[in-house]
Amino acid sequence: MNFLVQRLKKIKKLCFYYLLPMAVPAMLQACPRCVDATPYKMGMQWAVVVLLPVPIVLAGALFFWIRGASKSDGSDS
Amino acid sequence: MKASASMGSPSGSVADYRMEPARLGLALFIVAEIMFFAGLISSFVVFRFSPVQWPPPGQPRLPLEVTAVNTIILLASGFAFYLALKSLKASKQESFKKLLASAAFLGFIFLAVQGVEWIKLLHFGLTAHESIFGGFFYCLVGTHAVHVTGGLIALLWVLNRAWKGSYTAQKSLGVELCRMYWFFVVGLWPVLFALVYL
Repeated sequence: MNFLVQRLKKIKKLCFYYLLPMAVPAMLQACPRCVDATPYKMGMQWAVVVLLPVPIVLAGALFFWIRGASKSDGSDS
Repeated sequence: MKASASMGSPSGSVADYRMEPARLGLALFIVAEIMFFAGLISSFVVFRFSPVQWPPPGQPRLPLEVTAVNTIILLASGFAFYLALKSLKASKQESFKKLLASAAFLGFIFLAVQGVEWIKLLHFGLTAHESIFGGFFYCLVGTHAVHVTGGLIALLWVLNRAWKGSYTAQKSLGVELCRMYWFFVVGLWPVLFALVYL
């Protein structure tokens, strides 16, 4: 019985910490996924546009560079 | 020394593809560096392209004209390096050494002017910890300056070896690797200049 009471107390505590951010909008805004609630929404979108294609462009450029350089070196030898 | 990596050719035979490991290693390093700068630029873009006023009010004005001239100096340094390698390939040793020295000198001028401008901005009250504008400015421009310093050290090392006659038209890997890195540093700066100063 004592064990059950202790468990319930723990669950209550967890519920409190889980529900607290939903009750306080300021805490929600601090969440990085809730950037829509800040004036930096447009900047965030541009940042994603800037960063997203970089790895793909780099991997593609590296692949074609290695291929081109290797082929030209191979034909020289 | 060349290491060979085999790849299947369209005809089905194993073609002999060769590339110096140092060249490939440096290319991978530069790719990682570009990714690093892309991350920094992306975080800067969050603030730069938001409706919030940028630069924030009450911040000192950045030295646009001086830095524009400095940008031309750095681009000239890259061009001098390009001509230097061309001279080496044409076996013009004297011209190669002079152009390489010019590239190093122009790189040093760029770094020195940046340093002087930083000191002035610090006196005007633009510090890294006082505002996000200052933080981003010193982070982006400072990281680039560290890379220019690294490139300049490599350039001086190559220049020292060139003066001793270590490079020829056939033996020019060191110069080519240094040029790769220097071109990365030179090519990156106009992007940072346009983003931070304009």
